[in-house]
Amino acid sequence: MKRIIFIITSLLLFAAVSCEKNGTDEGTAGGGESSLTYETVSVAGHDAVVVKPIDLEAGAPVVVLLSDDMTLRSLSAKAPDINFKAAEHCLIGRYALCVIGTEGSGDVSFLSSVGGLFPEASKLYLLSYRNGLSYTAAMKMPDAFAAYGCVSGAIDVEAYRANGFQKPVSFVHVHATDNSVYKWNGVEDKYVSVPLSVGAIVALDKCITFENSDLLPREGKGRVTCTHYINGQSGCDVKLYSVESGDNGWCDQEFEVYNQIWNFFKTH
Amino acid sequence: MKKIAIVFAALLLCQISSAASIKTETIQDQGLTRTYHIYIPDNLPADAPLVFVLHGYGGNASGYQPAFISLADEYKMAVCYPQATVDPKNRNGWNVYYPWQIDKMQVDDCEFICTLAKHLQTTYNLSERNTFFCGMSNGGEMCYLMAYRKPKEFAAIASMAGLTLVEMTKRHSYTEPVAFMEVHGTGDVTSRWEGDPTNQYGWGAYLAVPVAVGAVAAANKCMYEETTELPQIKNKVILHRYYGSPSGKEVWFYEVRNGVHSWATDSFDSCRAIMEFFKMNMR
Repeated sequence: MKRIIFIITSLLLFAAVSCEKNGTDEGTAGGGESSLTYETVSVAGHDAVVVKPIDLEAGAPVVVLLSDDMTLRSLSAKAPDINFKAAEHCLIGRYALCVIGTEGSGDVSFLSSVGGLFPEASKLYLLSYRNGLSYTAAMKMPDAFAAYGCVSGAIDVEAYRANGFQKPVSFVHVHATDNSVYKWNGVEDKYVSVPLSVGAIVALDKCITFENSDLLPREGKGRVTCTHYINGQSGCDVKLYSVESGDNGWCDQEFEVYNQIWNFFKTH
Repeated sequence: MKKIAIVFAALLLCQISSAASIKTETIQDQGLTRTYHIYIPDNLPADAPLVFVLHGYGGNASGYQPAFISLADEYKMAVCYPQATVDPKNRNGWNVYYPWQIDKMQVDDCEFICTLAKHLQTTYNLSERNTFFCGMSNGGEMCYLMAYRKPKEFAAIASMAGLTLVEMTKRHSYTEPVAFMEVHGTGDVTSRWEGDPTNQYGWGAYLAVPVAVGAVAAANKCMYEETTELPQIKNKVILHRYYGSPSGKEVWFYEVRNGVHSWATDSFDSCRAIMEFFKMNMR
């Protein structure tokens, strides 16, 4: 009898978990061993979605992702967008992801309100996707985040002309060398070249040297090289992942980009 | 026949007597008598540019890198080869904060070069605005130190196999944009491409070369890069041109693949590249 009760209970639990995995419950999305909740919020007038594991520990770190509005709409509608993969990674990393729509805005002052949304967060990290706002934030608010990152973006030329980097920051950048929008060597009057964007932080951090390592390539995909700028006299470090294939995206077909970014963040 | 020989000899003598020569001169600076060699091409116009060429560690200014003599004629620029003093290791060296120089070598070579520049500009009616600076190895280190300390004194600076010592970064910051060029071999085992963060090789801790060049590009706020592979002679040479600085000051970085500690003249005409860079940066 005990065995029958145990089996029925197990089946019920399995069904409940499967239901959540498929994202059919209101307010959940994603996959993996646990499930995600999402919540629509406003950050100083900017639409945002907070995604986090349903059983996330209090005080867990928060990754703020500045993305385009399309990504945000996809998240809000629970559409099977590629950016869900980025969201799902917070199950592995055990952090909350706050995706903020930023299309068409070069202003980052709204980021000063993010901390108020997560008063218990142990750390706040900033990542920008398909834009260079994390660089702008690193210029204007270098103390607001424990580390900064950029995927498929670069320093905005206007922001760079108007501002400069003042304080050392730790930074990770992922970029495809063939990116057709944020071109590797820069786009005149729009985006700074990727090596010079990263180089600006390396100089700011007074890094002394670098280590190159090639990641294991995936079948049919190009080489991924990680250049780690170290020995910074400020204690900060910088990583650049250059991806030989891929375009203006996450480069997640080429390597474990979410893991790599999170591994960088969590050491800061 | 005799007449022809006499005419020929006379022409030869005339040629020799009118040819410019390298003069060795001295100047008093910081209580020391400093020696330098100066070459003023024939018929050099007033306010012509002046180029400094600094030798490497343990080197000598006399007879150093003669390629610049013929280039001086061609580009109509004066060339000066200053001589370093003897450092605490009893070798000719520029004071660039090598570990044995710190606190033991009193001479300020940046000040000396600037004093000498003013003296030559006045004495030979050379351009104050278009004074250029280049050097090899220890002289290359002087290029970085000069970019830190005297960026306004030179219209452009070119380092050959030079380094930024960590000590420089502790004492100085880049305050002004500067047109800068570096030529460096990736296989240089004296001034290592990857840097020496722990002073394993004795010259003092120094930055990786791409990091050192990147620091100048960052100080200039260069925004874009153009990469060009030069026609291959021996080693592959890649020119990284960093441009788009609000000041217009560019940074040119010649990466000599597998190149050693040298002027890299076996792989491209590096001395001419320097003169072209200087010409491009005439003010």
